[in-house]
Amino acid sequence: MAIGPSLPKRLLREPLLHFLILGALIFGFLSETGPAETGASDGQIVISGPEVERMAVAWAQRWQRPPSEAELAGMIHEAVREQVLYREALALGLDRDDVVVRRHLRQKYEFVTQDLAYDTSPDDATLRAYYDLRADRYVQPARLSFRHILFSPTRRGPSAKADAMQALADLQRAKGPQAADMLGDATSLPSGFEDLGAQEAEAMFGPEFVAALLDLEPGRWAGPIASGYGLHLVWLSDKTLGTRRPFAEVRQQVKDDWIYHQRTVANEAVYRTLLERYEVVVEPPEAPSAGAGGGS
Amino acid sequence: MRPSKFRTFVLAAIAVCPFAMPASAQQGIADPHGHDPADLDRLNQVAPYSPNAGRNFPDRPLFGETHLHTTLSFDAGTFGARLGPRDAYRFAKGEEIVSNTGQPVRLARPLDFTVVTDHSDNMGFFAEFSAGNPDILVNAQAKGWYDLMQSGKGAEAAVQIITSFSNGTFPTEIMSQPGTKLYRDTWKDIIAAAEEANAPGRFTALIGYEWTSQVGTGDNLHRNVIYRDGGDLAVQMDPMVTLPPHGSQDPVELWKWMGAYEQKTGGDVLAIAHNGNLSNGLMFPTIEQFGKPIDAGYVTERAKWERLYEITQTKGTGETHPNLSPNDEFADFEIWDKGNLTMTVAKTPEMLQHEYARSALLNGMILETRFGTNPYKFGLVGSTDSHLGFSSFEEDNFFGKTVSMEPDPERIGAPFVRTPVGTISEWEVGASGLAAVWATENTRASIFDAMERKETYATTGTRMTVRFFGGWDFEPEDGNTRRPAQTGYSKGVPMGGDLTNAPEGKAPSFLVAALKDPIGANLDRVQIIKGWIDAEGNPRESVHDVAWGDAGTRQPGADGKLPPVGSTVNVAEASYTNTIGDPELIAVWTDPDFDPTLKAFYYARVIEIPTPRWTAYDARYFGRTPADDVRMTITERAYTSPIWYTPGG
Repeated sequence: MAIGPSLPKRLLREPLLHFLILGALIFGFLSETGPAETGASDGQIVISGPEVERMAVAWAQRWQRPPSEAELAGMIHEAVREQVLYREALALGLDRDDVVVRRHLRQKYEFVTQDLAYDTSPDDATLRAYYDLRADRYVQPARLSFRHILFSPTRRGPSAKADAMQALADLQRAKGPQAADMLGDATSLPSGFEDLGAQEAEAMFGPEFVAALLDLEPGRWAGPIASGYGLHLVWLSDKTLGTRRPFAEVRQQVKDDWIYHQRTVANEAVYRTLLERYEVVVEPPEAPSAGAGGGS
Repeated sequence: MRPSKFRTFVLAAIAVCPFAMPASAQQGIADPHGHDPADLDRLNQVAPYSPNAGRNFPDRPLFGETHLHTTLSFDAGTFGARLGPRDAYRFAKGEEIVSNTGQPVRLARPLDFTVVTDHSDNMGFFAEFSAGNPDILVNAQAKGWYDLMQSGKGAEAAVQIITSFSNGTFPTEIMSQPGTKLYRDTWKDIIAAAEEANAPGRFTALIGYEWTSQVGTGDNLHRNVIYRDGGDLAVQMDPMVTLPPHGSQDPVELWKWMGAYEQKTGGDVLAIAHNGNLSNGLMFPTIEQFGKPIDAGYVTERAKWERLYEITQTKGTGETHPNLSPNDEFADFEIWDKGNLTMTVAKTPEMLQHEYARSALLNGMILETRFGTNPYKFGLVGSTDSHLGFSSFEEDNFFGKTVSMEPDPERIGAPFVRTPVGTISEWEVGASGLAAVWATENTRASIFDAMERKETYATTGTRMTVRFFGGWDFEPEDGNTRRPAQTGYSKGVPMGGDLTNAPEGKAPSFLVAALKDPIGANLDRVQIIKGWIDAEGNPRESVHDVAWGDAGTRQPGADGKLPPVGSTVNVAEASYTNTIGDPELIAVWTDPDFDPTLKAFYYARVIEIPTPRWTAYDARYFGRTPADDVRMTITERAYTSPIWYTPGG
């Protein structure tokens, strides 16, 4: 109910209709932001019958009785006052530099234009093509079995690396994973793992460590590999690289992804269509800017 | 982890091992500064063994969200959140999504679990209303709002809808409430989204909702209800609401609902309260509530159903307040103390002790003396309370709490709430927090059970690993082993546990081990906070630095105070370096002032070195110069569940 096109929007799947409606919305939007209300010309304020009715209903909801004539007149006077001051404020351009107004209008506009039309029932051929296109997404993550020894720069200072290299030479001579516990520094990181998922390994050691680990050949001491905790010598005993999951197994996920993609594309297309109506000029700042616009 | 494969590994290891293991190796040998290579060959003859043998405790905590709203929450939907539970889970699993304002967004790392907790009152109304559900539009008022929205005045419609709801004039015949088809369908859809997303072992989607009790004009008594169960049980009862005729604002009625659910379905639920800081003195009552005295019934039920408290989130910190803890130099942290949730009633100092976790932990022990049960014996988690349809808690990736706060050049100077009582600015909203759970498996049952035994801790959004054990026999060497967890579990109880029956002449000792977030900032210090009730029955508290970074050059001064760790933050560049602090801190601490006749609790607080706050990333990205009072750095932290000492048995 929250996702996917809503009832009136479902009727609008035809692209032609879609753009007609969009045009109407844009027209409505522009005329609404102009000085005149629909059905009223400059200098004329019309409080329509349905509007008066709505005021009366809202009053009744709130006070559990209909408004008296004087109360209704008061509300109408308030509505007129609001229109007069609103239009005068617009005429003075008071909406132009107001963050709150700008943000509200943007939200209102997005509210009415988003999710207008996209397909939610792809056929299998479409999904299969999408699955092939995004092969890297539908994989069983890699799994790793390894032991590690930490050499902590905090404890050892600059000699951590040399200590690790020396220990590596000794271990390689010893030809086995066993003596690990006598070397390196105490840490509360577990010292060995069996069949650990790559994602879990990343959660403990960070992604760079795991990427380096996956590059190793199993069955020998290697390293040192850096993590946020220090330098590690590692004995990779086994690794299963990520494998592609069959289409049948991930069909639903592919479908979700595909629909999601359609929705994103449709929403972006609406914006692009609008953008075409404008010539955008970005002028360089006069003084050098203080690092604006960087990613984060 | 797969136990069966472990066994194979261990057996294989033993098969090639001609000798028995030296006992000392199982304890873990500390060799921090070197080794004798000559020993290696000998060791290889005897040493093969798995350090993991018989290990039945988790290697790492699971990090997740227990408090997240989507478009199905009445307020979130009305104010522009369009993302639903499926988007929320997708995002939690590490996928990129497009935010409500059209901006691509993705977490740096996936979460391990998430609970979507939409407000139970009027749940799903807005999604159906905006979809033009004819059952709703038969109502004249709803039709009016709908037309307003269709004519492009969505924001105006939103304000009218919200106002009518908070004024109690919302048309009851179209409200989404238990028993109606709309409510049923919404609840089923929430459950279905969780069932689809739940992937045991990799990602857990727990079923839940928020019961949003608001007393007076907006005193926050909210609770999140979380299910251990799958959809087959959760679907059997509609959630508890606060509005009559089905609901109540009184937590006592929520607990009755929870009891009724468990009785009817055989399921299991728990409740987590949050934002006592916005309850104006009502969250942790000691005398009365709703005109009824706090009695044996209240304390028993509260202790039974509310075993966790959400201590940190976007709307401020709930640990303690500088007025309550004047000697705690880290108490003044992301405080929201201007008023209640709606900022309709201002805060007064006497409210504070009924709003914060530390004073509640203390008052709970006093109530325990009176009634036999401690109602405030809770563990700790953090979460976001995001109303975006996705969780946002990373400083360099913060999308705010509501759609109006999604990244925008103006937000750093915009008001979040403004009433005659006062203003809370958007910059005051925090990028916080996370729930860390020491669950043995990533499944609903395992996570829920860890929550019930309070083996949890809260962080303000970073993913540091914190282990905390209490016992009677921890020794300084235990802080220098290869396996502090093994030592911790075998010699003591983990966070959330109990100590009783103090051995003659012994004081409780604690093993605490903290690892920094693997891609985050170093640690400044580890503290243990002790609270106790003195012989006169008065609450007391003390803060102890037990381990700290840069210990080679940084020691407490003559006044016993540890000098600050310093700061490497470059605010203009929104950057820092890990050249101060330590990546890992471990310590054993024994209470120097222990009195075995007095009740006490102990919890650990781990503090990171200063890092840029989200406001610094924002200012840099948008090239803005924020006002002088905007905080630009933060010291992220973790709070563990306490370990309680109770005299006698």
